[in-house]
Amino acid sequence: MTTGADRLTAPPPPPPAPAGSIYDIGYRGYDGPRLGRRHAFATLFVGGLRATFGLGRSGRAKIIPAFCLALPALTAVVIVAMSAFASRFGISDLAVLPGHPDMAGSTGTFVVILVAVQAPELLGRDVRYRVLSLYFSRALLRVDYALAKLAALTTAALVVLLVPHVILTIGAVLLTSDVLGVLGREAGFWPAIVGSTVVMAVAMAGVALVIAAFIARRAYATVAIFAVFIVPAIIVAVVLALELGAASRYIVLFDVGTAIDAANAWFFGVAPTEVWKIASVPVAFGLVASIVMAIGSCAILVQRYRTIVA
Amino acid sequence: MLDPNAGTRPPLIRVEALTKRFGGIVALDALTLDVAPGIVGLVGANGAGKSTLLKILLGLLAPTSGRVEVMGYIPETQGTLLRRFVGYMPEHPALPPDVSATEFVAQAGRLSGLPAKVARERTADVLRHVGLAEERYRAIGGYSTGMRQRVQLAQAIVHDPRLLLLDEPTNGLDPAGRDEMLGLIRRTGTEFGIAIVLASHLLGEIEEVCDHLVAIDGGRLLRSAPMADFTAETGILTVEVEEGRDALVAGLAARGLRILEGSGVPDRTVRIALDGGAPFDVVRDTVADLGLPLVRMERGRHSLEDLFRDDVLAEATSTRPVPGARA
Repeated sequence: MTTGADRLTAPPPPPPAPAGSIYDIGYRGYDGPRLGRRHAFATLFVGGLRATFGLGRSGRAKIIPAFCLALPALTAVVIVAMSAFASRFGISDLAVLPGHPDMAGSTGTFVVILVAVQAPELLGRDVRYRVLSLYFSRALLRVDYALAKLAALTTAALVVLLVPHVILTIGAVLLTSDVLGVLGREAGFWPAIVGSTVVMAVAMAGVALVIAAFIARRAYATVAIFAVFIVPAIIVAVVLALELGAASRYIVLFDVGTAIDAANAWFFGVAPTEVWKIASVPVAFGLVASIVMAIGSCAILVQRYRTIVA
Repeated sequence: MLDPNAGTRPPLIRVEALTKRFGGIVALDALTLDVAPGIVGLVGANGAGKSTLLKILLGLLAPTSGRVEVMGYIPETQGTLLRRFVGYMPEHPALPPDVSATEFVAQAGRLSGLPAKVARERTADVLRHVGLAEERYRAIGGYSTGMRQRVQLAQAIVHDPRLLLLDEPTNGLDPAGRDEMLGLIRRTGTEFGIAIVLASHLLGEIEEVCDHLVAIDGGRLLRSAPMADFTAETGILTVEVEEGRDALVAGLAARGLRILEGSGVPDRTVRIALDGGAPFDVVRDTVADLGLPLVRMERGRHSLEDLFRDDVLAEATSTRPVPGARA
């Protein structure tokens, strides 16, 4: 730049930082394949999944995901250990120990924590720092972005939900002398395990992401997500206690947690939670309510990202 | 002009009667424009419609009416295909603070269609080009404004786009950072061979870097022409004398020259319309005859600032009956 010399008559400019120099090695173009939406979707999905578990982030970002993954797993390990202990005393099947149908109840709490903390992380960050315009200016559609984030959080929730089941199955097989019999019995559980955890994961991730999509501030979004998972349960309990009439009992369908519990009971063919029994609504209604929540939240999320300003 | 074949090929960008309304506000008003490859400055005041135009070219916004074609693609319906070949740098900071430049730029490359391995290699390349060394492995949150702008440029060129859309790329930079950024942009346009549309409200910036200029105001096209046209000689001769201006005016008028009213130092300069002639000897003789102390005699040049002055604007639009034509 020849104009640089003229400027030297002005106060001396600050010396250029070493990092500011341009390394002259020539520019290389690219004539190889350019992939499309599917590739972009996969990139966002993998990136979102890694972010949900805090991979590639600071150590602090790993604490909560690790906690949510480890504690349910630990619960399952304790169950296996206790049943191993019992079997030494000749008790082959300790009925009081929780099994596959009971896992949703204990693991669910940790999934709530995971989605409440990570859904705002997945969405709010890109809105707050205006990264969305850089994403939307690439080889993908807005709907791809929304669905990739949903797929990432759902998968993370699914991992948290499935790990205890896997541990229970492996434990049961290792502890028995009748491997084939136990394998058969465990295999019988797995369709219900897969069905219940998928419904649960999509519904919980979807509801959390919808809230996060409308509240950019992370702390507020997290509080709001916890509130949506906790407050309705309290309202349901109060309404049922007041015995306001037959129609009021259907309020259980509007509580995510209660509906998911009923769906779980439907898949495993076991008795639903106490609240559901009091409401005496068929468990199939809980399954339908859960599926409606899952699909509905996906639709709202996609619609939100179709119109969001980037 | 960089591309000698521009006349025989379809233009890079073709905009026809493009209108964009936001509610009752008209951001772009029947804009018609062709852009050929090169470094094109898109200039206009804040709110002139520059950012809106760039977003429509990218397919981020849909036009209210009119037709847009970029490299043969319709952005509104073929956005994902088109954007594999376009880089975009928004006017605002758009980087997440908690990831490193390497990670972010590599992801950007993959999202624009690069296979993962290629994206990694090219990320290292472009970050070196924009001048980010060791710090590229640190989280972006700790970067200076200048470094962030470099990352924003890197993410826009990581996939070797054919077209680069830059929206106020020197926003928030200090003079040194600004010069470096402009140098990088010019290099990207000339050495890397990437066509650039550079939107800015800073005329000096455009003048320094661009070889073609498109001026819009209130969503309408003011003018589109090679940069040289804007800085060409004007048809005005300015004569400055220490004293005796009135006598000079009278003397020049008596010899048949047309004197222009208006700007300059009021009691010392005279502006003469050349009207196609070269009355330099006449002026010299008049000054000599009157015995006036001559300070200077200078043929005027346009500056980009003139573009937004009403009188020049009127002249420009009258002498350019086909706005936007560039072939």
